Amino acid sequence: MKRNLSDYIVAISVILCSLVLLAALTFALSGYRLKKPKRTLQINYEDVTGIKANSEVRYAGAPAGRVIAMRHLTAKEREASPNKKDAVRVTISLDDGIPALPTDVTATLSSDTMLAPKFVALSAGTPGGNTLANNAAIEGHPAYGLEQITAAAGPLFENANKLLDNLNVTVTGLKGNLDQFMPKLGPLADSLKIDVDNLQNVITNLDGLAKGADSVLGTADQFISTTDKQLQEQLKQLHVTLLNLKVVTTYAKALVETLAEKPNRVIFSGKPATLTPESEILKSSKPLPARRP
Amino acid sequence: MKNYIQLNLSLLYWILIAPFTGQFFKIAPIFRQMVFIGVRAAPMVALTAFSVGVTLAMQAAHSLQSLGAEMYIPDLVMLTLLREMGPVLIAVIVIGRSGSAVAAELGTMKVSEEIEALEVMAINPVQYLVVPRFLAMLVMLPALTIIGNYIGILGGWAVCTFSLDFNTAGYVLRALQSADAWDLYSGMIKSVVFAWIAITIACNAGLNVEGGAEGVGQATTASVVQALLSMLVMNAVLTGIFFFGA
Amino acid sequence: MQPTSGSVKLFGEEITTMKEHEIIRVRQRFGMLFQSGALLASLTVGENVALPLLQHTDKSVDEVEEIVKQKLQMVGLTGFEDLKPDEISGGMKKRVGLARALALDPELLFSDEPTSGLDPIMTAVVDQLTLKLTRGSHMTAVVVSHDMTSAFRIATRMIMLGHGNIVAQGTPDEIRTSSNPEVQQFIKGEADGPVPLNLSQEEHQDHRHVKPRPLFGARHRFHHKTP
Repeated sequence: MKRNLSDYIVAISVILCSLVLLAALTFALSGYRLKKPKRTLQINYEDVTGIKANSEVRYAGAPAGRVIAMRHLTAKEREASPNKKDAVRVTISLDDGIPALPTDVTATLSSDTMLAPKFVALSAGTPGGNTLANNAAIEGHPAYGLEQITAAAGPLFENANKLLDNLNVTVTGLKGNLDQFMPKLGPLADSLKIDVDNLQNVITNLDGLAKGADSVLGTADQFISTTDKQLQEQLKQLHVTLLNLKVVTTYAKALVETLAEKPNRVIFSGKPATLTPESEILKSSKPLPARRP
Repeated sequence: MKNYIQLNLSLLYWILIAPFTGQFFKIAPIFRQMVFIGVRAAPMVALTAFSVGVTLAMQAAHSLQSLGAEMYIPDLVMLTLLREMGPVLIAVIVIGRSGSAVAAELGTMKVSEEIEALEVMAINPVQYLVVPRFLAMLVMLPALTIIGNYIGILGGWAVCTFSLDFNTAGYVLRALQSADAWDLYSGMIKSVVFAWIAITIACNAGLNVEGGAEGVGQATTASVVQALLSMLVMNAVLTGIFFFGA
Repeated sequence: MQPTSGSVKLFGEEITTMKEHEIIRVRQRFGMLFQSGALLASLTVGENVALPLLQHTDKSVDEVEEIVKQKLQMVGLTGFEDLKPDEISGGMKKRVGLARALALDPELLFSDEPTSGLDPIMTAVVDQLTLKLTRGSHMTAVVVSHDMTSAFRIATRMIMLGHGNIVAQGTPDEIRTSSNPEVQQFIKGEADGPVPLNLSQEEHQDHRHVKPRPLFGARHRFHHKTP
């Protein structure tokens, strides 16, 4: 009988232990919370690819909660919604320590890297104004994927193209002028001509570079459907192109300014301009003056 | 095969029908078998699960690091353990340890006339010997699988924390985020089916031993091989149903 | 194991055609002592004897323990309750098997070689026990034995089996004075005589269903198909 008793105790304790563990895992996996979340927020999205129950929520980049539910909007709700494209409603819970959210908070879908899991990113918003009520519904913005990059890069390229066209005209004009000057200036002008030719080459290359970037962006949509790895590769190229473009446009600006103000400085290479170093341009997120003050 | 089907049918009779005709099976032997089949196998299961978790994490780290996707290691460890490695490897351990022991025990009883003695005492061998082992296995294998899953995840955590710069909270969150409840349930269902296969094959082999000590040895080996093969085939079938079905 | 032919009647009922639940009822009415004891090796001596009581009666644990103690005392094994069968000798196992066969106070006891492997004193004790049970509590015992001394001591009626048939039957006195040379050879234990010695494989196969040794008493083994 004693042996039976110890059998009972041991077996029951193992079973209970495993039941507790099973219950814990079930609750953790099915997103069940013992404590009902006190603060929630409804976000309507057009598309929530990559987000699922338990996905992270970050407020201004710092962890702030979890996605607790997700459902499709009904046809009626979609019609009533201000943005007709919205199709999915995501409910998120906010941790207790998070301050009240300003009304101008934007909810985007984001990820740390191309391969990393998506999370709901709430922007910091501006303090001082009205704050969102508990369980308020806000409009979410889709992920900053390739499309957003393309959209953002578009104007930049347009400007760059214009700039390059102008530059081309200026330099061609300059070349014509130089032809007239040449006999008078002799050997100095010869070397100068070479410089200007080089400059023209640079500009032609620039043109090709910008066109290349355009074509990359133009075909980027196709790459979305291909594998992540290829996509990553294309994005890497695009990144390099954009960085190059940034440096080039900055310098081109300086060149155009110089040509406009003091063309002789280019021709006679007077005082060398103190240009902002390339590395600084790359690091900065804002356009920098090409010449150091 | 005919014996095996008969054993399953009479097992179902004794568990599902006989209790309503007043022939309730005894509880104490079930717990004794639980300790014997399940609890005693727990250390082996723990060691297996831990090493599997560690191995999975290390292999995943090796491949995923080249893609810069180390953050998927917890996902891989969790999903692999819950869906496949947990139920299958723990069933392998339990078949190797407890299944063979049951086959050998019943085989020895058969050879030494103990089973005939039971019949003459009007004690049905299926009710007296097989039912407690069956129920104990049906409870203990899933229980061990759950415990093994936890220990395997702990193994993955050890690798991630001590050599891959994960923090504990990050590992746990990633692991929980990757799987959903169905991954856990499918593993549990598999585990119950494996328990059924393991114990009925072991008991059938034991009860049909012929030819003395040598026969017991052969039956034990055969039961382990048959149980492992059926279990693995059944695993493929179940995976097909659960994850490739409609 | 199903019989190939013939019939077996027990307590007036035909058992070869019985269903599982009917045969259980019949089996509870008789006890069986196996030649090897056939104790469950995983249980202790006490648990072995208690097994039929726990399975077939609603007695409390204390009552069962009391009966077990009494039955073990009857076969001279007081205080052996907590030993495992492999810790006791063959003779002791046989006595535990007897105690287990008697646990339910059966109407009928089948004994397969109850005295083989026992020393003469213990043989006498088992014989006396059998006598006490049969004469005292009106139990019928069917004993299969080679041991002539023991057989003549306990029997009220004897049957000698050979070649698959009954060779002779009668009271002990009739058997002792039988004119059948086979019976006389067997009683006296002589090497030369009419009983054939099957020394080669072929001879055994000629008598496939006939045990080469003559048997006393009816030997029924109620095998049923193990499911």
